[in-house]
Amino acid sequence: MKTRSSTTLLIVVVLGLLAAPNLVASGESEQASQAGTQTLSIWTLFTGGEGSIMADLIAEFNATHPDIEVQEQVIEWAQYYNRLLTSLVGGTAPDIAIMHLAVLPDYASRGVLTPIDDTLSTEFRDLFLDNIIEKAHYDGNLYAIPIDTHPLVLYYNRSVLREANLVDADGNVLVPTTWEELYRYAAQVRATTGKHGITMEAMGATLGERWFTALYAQHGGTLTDDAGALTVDTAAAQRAYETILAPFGSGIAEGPMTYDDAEALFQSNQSAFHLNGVWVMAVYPNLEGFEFGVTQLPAVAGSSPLTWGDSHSLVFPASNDTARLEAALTFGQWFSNRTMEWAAAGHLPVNETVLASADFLSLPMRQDYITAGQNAVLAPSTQGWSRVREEMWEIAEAALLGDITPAAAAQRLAAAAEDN
Amino acid sequence: MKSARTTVNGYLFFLPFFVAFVVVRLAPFGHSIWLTFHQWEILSPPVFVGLENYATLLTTPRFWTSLRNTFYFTALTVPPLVLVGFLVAVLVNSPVLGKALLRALFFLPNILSISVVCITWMLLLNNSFGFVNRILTTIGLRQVGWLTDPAVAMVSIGITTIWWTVGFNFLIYLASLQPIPSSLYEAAQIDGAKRWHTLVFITIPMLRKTHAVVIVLQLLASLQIFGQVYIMTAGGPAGHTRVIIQYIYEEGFRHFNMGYAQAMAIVFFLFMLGIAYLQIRLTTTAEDR
Repeated sequence: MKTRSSTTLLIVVVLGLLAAPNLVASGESEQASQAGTQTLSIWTLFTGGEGSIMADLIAEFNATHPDIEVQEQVIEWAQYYNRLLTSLVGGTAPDIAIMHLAVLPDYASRGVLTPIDDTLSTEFRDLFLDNIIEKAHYDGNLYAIPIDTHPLVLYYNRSVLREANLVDADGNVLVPTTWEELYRYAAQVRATTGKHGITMEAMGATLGERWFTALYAQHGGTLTDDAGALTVDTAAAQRAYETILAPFGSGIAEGPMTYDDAEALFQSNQSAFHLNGVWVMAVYPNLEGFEFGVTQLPAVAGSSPLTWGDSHSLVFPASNDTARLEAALTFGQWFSNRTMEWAAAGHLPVNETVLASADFLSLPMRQDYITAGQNAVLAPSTQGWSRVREEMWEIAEAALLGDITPAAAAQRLAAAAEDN
Repeated sequence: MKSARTTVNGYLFFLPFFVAFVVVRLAPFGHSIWLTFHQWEILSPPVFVGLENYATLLTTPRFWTSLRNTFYFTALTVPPLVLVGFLVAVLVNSPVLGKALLRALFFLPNILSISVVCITWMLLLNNSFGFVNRILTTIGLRQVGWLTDPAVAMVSIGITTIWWTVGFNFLIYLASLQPIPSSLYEAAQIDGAKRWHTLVFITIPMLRKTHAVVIVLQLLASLQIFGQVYIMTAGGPAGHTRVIIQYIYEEGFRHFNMGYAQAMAIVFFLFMLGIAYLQIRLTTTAEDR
């Protein structure tokens, strides 16, 4: 018994001695790396085309910044905000996170993000489109560096329009600039070809939030009063719902329709006009035998072609480590100046130097929808907006199904805004 | 002396489980109840609001419609899930060709993950390009908005659920069929009983306890429907398929309203407890108790 335990002891001691130098060495190297480079985590929700552009840009940043290493963690879109929320509660939030400006108020209002006004130069802050940078603020403080805007735009299928004889004397397809024109053209497509006049995700976010926001703004409605509280102009909202429902009533659009269905129909030349965000610009140019065009949304008579937009931005979860925050902002500013590459995914840059650069303007078709960027209406900077907007999805669906009239839909929206 | 020691030993054996039970079940449950009396926005500390969360749910139509949708789904799925599970078990328990293969096939969907099942069915039921609508249009019928028509969407989710989970009930029934002595059937046969006689007078009564178990488990499982709805319709169109767990999830995790979500969860828990209790009372006899 005794010999056995001393043998064990011997083995432990020998192993310990063998391991000790390694422990010391690894401790040293870790310290060295901590002094030399700052390792930052960034959480993103980008996959596919967007995902690889993001990864490439981060790799390039790391290669050109030996003192900072940014490590990306991609989280699936559907789970992204749940994970971010729990990490903020648990104190394990990343140094940098992607956040849509539409949900920013729900986080900024609860003190979990770092205000970055004082750490960024005025010149840098002045680089951005006014309508976008305004929404990166909450309660007077800047919380985010916007990296793009992705507005709702109108796509059209050239071959279907030619098939429906919607061409001018020179043979160019007719592109509508008002909703009346759009609906008239769409009706002609339906009548002559039997194909869909207009398609879009005729439910959920596209119908009830994006399209509605655009039409509501075009009809003169605003979502906040002078004090910044949510408010609904029921007359404008009712007209917006009526404009949305018109093509469904006359059979030139079908709904409810899922996002995938609408995409499949438009991409397979079964539809003449199509409403979606600019992110599909990462897909459409690569499709074979697909002749499409893109333009800003049509306008209500007397209005500019205002549209819905949201914006991806970089936010910096609250922490006391100023060195890390500075490194994170270095990345943020570098990334903002490289949003030209990011724009290849279809998004519009919001950094005006990038927007005006020849490189950006030489990207295919960007000039056809660049105006949508400054015409984008973003979500109001109000806590609780995420609840109201989900209510908007449901209200428009109910109106589409005939459960409620456009007038009742407007009332329900006003009630939802008031409840908030 | 000896018995006291046995008791102590008994508690010692029980202790590791009990500690784990307290940590992962009892304490969170207590915390949950405590939270129902608070407004908790997750990112800020809870604020005591008394019974306000309970008052809110009583007066919120969406709570009741979500509950109604949940019961509708339960009514749609429990009878076929129990009946089909039972009949298929009886069928493959008799000497049919390819018995082992059939057993495997009926259970197979059960091993798939929820997302695989839902996405497969979404492709099948897709409006313009789905297999099912293609068949309908080929034989001259109209397309059906399987997941976009409020009258049909819940039925589609029900069909998906039945296809996916019926194998579990089937397996329980199949296992319970094994111990029924074959002598009973042989005796019945000698007495000239037909096949359906033996089913009604031997098989069904002999499985009395199994029915009770399967029905209770199925009721509870169906009442807890969430994943299929979340993936396939997200509660739409216009909230016509929103179920209670989904509503709880939306309020808690998406709208920062955790106290209210907890209150709904507790009320729903009581509903389920009541249903399970009633069910057990009604299906067991005095001697079982």
